[in-house]
Amino acid sequence: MEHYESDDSALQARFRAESEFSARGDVEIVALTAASEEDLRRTHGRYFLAIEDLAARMG
Amino acid sequence: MTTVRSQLDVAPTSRIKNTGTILEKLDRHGGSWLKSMHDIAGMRIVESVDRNGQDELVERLAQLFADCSRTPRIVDRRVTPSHGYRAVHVIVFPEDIAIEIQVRTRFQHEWADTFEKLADRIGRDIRYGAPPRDWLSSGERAALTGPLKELYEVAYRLREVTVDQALNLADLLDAVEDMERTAPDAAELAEFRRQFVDHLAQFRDTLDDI
Repeated sequence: MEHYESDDSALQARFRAESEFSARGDVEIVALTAASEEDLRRTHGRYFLAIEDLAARMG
Repeated sequence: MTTVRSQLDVAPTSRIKNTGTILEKLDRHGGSWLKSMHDIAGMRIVESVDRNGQDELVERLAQLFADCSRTPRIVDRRVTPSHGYRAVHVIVFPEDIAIEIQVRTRFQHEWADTFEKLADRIGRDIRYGAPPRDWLSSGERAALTGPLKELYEVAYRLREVTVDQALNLADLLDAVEDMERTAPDAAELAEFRRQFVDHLAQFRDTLDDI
């Protein structure tokens, strides 16, 4: 995961990465915006958590 | 995002759909999708509320963007789930740009995250009702014989059953939400919720083996 200070720089980096990995079907590039990494992990846990982590999250 | 955060006291996150997903959608829906595209820019809110709390949040969101050039549009994926996916999407138009805000309860979000994980393993298109991905081409599969064919078909059927299980869990959540709406004080509601959590946790455990 890379952090960027502005939406513009994140989008530019995303386009560069999409170009670099365009031949890789197993790589997903996403640019997400959030006030904190904690918020991001809650709404987009798929990118951070393995299945067992998701199971633990349910409590 | 700042407006939503400060006015509604929630913690939204946002994304712009990636190029590959846009191309997939164009492939799936054709050029007509361009005219109605409203989820290029998106936001997601996950709150620990029940169905009634979700309704209240959706109403406040719609009010917040009521004075924009176009009236907010509400797509209720609880009434019309999309292959098990449940949420409410509010499409708002600040500065004439369509932004889709996904409003999910925690349970809806947990189901959606689990289904995404399943899709990562057995084929992203199951999210749109397609069958699980095959290991072999149709020709290779047809050429199998004997025990190998039997083994292959059983293994593939397991994938299909796993998708069915996920959809059954979505139906269970539908029943829970229906009770939240019609009988929020019912004594059985807590037990139904517990059953959903337990079944989802068990289901997640089985995904490790796929």
